[in-house]
Amino acid sequence: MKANIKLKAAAAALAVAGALGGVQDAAAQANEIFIPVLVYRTGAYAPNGVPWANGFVDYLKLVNERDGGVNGIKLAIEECETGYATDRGVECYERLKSKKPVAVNPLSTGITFALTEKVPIDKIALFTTGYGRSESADGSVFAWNFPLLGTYWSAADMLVQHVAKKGSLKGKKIALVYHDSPYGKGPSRSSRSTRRSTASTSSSCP
Amino acid sequence: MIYRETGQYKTTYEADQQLFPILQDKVFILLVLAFAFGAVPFLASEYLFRAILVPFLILALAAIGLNILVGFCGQVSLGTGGFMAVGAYAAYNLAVRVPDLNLIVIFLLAGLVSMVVGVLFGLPSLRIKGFYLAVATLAAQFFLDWAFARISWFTNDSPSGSVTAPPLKMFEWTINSPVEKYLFVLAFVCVFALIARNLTRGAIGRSWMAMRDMDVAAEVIGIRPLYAKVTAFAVSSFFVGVAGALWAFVYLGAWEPLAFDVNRSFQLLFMVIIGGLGSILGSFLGAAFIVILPLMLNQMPGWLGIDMSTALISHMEIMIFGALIVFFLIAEPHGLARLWAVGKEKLRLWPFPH
Repeated sequence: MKANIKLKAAAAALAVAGALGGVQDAAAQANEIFIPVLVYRTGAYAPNGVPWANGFVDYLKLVNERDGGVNGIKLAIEECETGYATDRGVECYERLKSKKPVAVNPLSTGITFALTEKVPIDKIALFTTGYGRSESADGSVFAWNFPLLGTYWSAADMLVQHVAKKGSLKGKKIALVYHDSPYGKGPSRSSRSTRRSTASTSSSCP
Repeated sequence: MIYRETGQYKTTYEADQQLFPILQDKVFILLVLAFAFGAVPFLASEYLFRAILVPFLILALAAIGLNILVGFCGQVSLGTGGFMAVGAYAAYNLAVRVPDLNLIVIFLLAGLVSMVVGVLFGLPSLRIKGFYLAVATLAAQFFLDWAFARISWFTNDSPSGSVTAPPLKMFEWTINSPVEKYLFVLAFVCVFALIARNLTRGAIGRSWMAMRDMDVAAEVIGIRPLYAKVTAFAVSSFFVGVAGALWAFVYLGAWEPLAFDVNRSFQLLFMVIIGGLGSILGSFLGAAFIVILPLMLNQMPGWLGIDMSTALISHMEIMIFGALIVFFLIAEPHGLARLWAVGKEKLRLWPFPH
């Protein structure tokens, strides 16, 4: 989780840039594009939440300073602390919703589940960068969910394929050591299906 | 001057034993209800409904349930979050497996399931007391957390362990907008608060309070400990289960077992202690204190126009909140409800205190 913070931050930045490209027509009437930044700078997960939040905010500031925003439209940002708790995350979303954001990036799979029900009603795009609901990779399932950088399933698949390149998986045992939350359980089903396709055995360990 | 019961003569036992014997109290409560049902839906913003009023009401209901157990019967419980989870998952399974069931029936059945589980975990209270019982209920909390995270039948085989509530539909009425959700929850909470208030005034409530004050003496005067303790666990778990189902269905919409972890139990216990043990009003005051105050503290710098980093605000919120809890417990160890009662006593003599 910690090792790919940089990758995640860069990816998230890319994601926002991509998102804004797509929706700039809608936002063009406004003078600013509002981006809610849901972060967790406190609590048990703060060690990876703080650098992520710093990177994300710094990139948005960089876009404003260096490029003068996106196509001349400045980005307005506001942070809201979730503490990685679903109820506080939902509260943040409700709080920042009134400022008409185009996209929200909740940074927690639990919050993503809770917001999936709300975004189609509010017409706000829900970006999940390398996390979120894997079934949203099929765009017809959740019209307002946009998974970027793959999902838990593709991540688990990539790992297995990478290992498979180094040698046959036949008869090998795959262990999935996971974080006991929706974040960690995401890949469990795909690892089970991989097991079926490669005829190896897998075991899960929380 | 205004708050004085002089001249309000009670000529029958019924008049003397009514819910609010003082006329001013009755008028005040009716005004509050009229405001909550009639005025708030037109005044409050969507944020206020979704993020403050709905969670406040649901947690107040859970706090009433816990208060029956801890405040009235004196049985300390740290398993409230677990019983909320039972209500939530029971409601989910009923809604998913038995389609076309009325929403109110689902919530009441969820309460019943939670009641059965509560009675089961309440049985040890006959043998163990005080802190030991608290630890036993903590075991219930961890067991229930474990069960909902591990046994995939409860989550209808959801791959990530997170489940989504079906749309709230009742008699062709889809509860969708924040105002509708607020009114739905408010109606539930009002009915349950009335039931709780009457239960605690009646014979059963007196047997709970006797059990709390001194169990040996209560037994001597003819109160059966098994009956008193098990009913307290049953009623309390029922309330908490309904609150859990409402929390999951109306407030969260989608949840994982983490939404009902041990922190939720502690949060509810703090509500009951800060609000006032053995007081229905205290449950509401405690819920308001615990739910609304942190959110206000969190947004205070923004309202005042002070530029502060998000992390600093969050840490300040935790520190000020903790300091206020300590302050209130030193100022009034019997909780906010006691402060309210003291205020009423003072108001009786105002403006000529002797």
